Amino acid sequence: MKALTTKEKIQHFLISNAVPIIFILMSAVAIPLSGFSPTYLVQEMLIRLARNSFLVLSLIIPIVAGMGLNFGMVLGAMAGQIGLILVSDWAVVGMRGLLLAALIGTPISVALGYICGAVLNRAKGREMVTSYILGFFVNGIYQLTVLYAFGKLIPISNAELVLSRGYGIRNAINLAGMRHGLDYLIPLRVGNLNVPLGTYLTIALFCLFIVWFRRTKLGQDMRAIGQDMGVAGAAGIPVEKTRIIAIIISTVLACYGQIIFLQNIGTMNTYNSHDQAGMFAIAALLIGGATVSKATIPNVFVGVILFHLMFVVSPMAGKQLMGQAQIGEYFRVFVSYGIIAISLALHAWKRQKDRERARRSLRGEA
Amino acid sequence: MNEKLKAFIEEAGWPRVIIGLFLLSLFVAAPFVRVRVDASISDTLVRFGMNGILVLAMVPMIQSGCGLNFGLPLGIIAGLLGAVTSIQFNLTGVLGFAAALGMAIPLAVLFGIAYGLLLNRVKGDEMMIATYVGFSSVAFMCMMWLMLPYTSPNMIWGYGGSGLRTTISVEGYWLHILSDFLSIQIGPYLYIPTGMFLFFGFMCFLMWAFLHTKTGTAMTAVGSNPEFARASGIDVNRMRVISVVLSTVLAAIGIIVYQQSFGFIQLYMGPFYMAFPAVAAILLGGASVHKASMLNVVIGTLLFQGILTMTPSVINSLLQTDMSEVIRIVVSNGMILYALTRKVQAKR
Amino acid sequence: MMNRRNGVRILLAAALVLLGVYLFVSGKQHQMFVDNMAVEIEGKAYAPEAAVRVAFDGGEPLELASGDRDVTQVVGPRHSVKVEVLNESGDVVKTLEGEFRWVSTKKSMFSVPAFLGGAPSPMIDSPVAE
Repeated sequence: MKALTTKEKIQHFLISNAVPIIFILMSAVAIPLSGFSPTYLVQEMLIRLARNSFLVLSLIIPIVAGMGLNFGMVLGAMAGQIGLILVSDWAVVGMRGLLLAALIGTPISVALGYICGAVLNRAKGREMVTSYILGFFVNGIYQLTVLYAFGKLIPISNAELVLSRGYGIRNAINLAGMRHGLDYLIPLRVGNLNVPLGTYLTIALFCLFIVWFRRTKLGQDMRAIGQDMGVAGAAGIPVEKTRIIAIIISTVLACYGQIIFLQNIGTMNTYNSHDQAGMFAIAALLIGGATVSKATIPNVFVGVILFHLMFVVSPMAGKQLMGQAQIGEYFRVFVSYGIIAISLALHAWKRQKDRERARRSLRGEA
Repeated sequence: MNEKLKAFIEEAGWPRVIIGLFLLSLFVAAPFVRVRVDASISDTLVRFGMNGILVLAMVPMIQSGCGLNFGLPLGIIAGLLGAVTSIQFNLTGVLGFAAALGMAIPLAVLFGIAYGLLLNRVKGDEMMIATYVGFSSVAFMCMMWLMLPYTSPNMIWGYGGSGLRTTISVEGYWLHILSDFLSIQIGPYLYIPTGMFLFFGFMCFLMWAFLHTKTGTAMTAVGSNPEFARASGIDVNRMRVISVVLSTVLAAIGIIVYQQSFGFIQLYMGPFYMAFPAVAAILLGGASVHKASMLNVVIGTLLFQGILTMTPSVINSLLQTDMSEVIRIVVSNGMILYALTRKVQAKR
Repeated sequence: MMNRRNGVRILLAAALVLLGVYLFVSGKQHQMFVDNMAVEIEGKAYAPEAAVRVAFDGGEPLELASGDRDVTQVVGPRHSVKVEVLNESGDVVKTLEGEFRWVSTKKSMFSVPAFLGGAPSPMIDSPVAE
């Protein structure tokens, strides 16, 4: 194949990074409109990087294994929240509380991840829709548990957690005891800002883990499955089992990611926090340039920054542009969903073009 | 006798039989937990009529191989625009209802064409993209509802605000315009909205007739065997777009029928999740991701709405709590899951 | 099926459970009353001081007059405490530092007189259930 000319290289770069580029352009317009100062924005981004990166990183492994966007990560988030509810009730505080929550959430995540993986194996080719609906389904079961079983079947002694009717967990739970437990584990002040060093270190460790994991046999197996299930199976890789393991790992990591997210915010919305976790993480990853079949670590960080930049800036920009902040808020919802739609569409379109090209070459045409 | 029973069960499929028996048992249990049977029957029938056309909208796209139409909100939005515009012009009664339909359908055709062209570019991943196209359009309309120049005082925010309200009542315009037509009232609790049923039946008939025309059979061929269809000279892409347009138009009609029975137009995030009950219903009725019939629509809607009506009321009375919302979530999504994980017989 | 792999798994699970117990015990936050009233433990009477300043685990000090009771939170099983006895003008007359263990939710009241008097454990019955 002849070398690409500069023009072709630029074209190729633009097309394969279309989504982040569109986003950068939008942000370039919206930021001055919103009126936020650069220092404020930088500060916000540093916080949000700490808060959200772990969750977004947990999406990488299923993509590598060819299972698309793991909408089932909300299952892990729910497991983490159950852990946090119990730990809150037992009044265990600080980092120990967080570790205990993670310890409790892990077996729940493994079980849920196993179920998710098994269900996805029965819906090959439709993984994303299935994991999406599975997320809703398990959300229903989670609500049954948290709204009814907690307080009745599972004893909760802390009255602050329970609804006034006597059972069921309240919607907003104050995690004051565990707030910033990981963030400020290793204290560091820059100027008059507290830097969440503990969380940054954890994220860095996680990145190293992902890099290392890719080189292990399991990681290589997953990549092989991601490229071609049939060939991988023929080569002796236990496809079904490996796929399930990929989902289990992702679910457990989502559990930890949600705990990290909530310890930074300090309050848990029992019935909403996990929903948004999945949606925003996936939107962020796609904005960072990842696709359904390819995701790298830079995608994660670029995506988190761009997505949250837009998130913070939209309401104010909308207010300046249209006179109503509400429009800005709807705008950011629109952009979150729209970006996922565009990314999925671009990816599917590209895949279809590849398939057609392959079919045409088989038929012997030019 | 046993042979016939076995054959029926195999034909209907175990899940349907189990759910049918479950529904029956709920009706039997109802009087014992102080739930009125006649009110329940009436509720179920009304909800059946309300949702039927939205479920019917699933059929064209399933038949043509575009999968489950999670992008139903797009058609619903067309219907909403028609309804809101009809009220803006202060049209009441049959004229108002017809005007709503008349304005919604062309919009739905436009939306459907654009949507169909998009889906043609993404064959194989339609369902996921449909979902997000649906969501994005609802979010986009959220912005639009605030900005579009509607002025009717029944619809905009009070105290001089601008933009449409979240819920708009159709009382005084065309509330129950279909339902009340030839309706039957037995006692104070049992109300049968005959008009709505007649309209629904008519739509089903039209769909059935269409599927038996040349275009309709071509569409089905595209869904069951695209290569064969192409070899027979059928324009696959055109058939798919037609199916998407049909689906979107039916969604627009369906939401207007829904609103005349429900009594309110729900804007903003109202249509957001509306695709899911319709998907669950048709899958429950026995449709697969590639094949759906009128029988699937009717049985599915009846069973689904029956479960959704009866389970909460019976269990609420039994356990003295309000679990309806959560049960709805678990039941509808569970059914969709079941259908998605069924092994596909033929190779894709 | 007691082969090596299962043995390792069971050990691992046991280790995690132990870790959980450790985290629970060492991380649990308790509500503790701090009391400066007369109290009798095992036959010995301890009298309160007129004014004391008490700080637990190096935290913010509480000031108590004779007959006062206050409440604070402590985390974990072992704690350090520093009690400073004050005279009328507010100067520190006597200082006593030491360590004590959390006993139970029933005995969740820290008695300053008992601690100053050298009782075996300064924790006495709490007036309310935690």
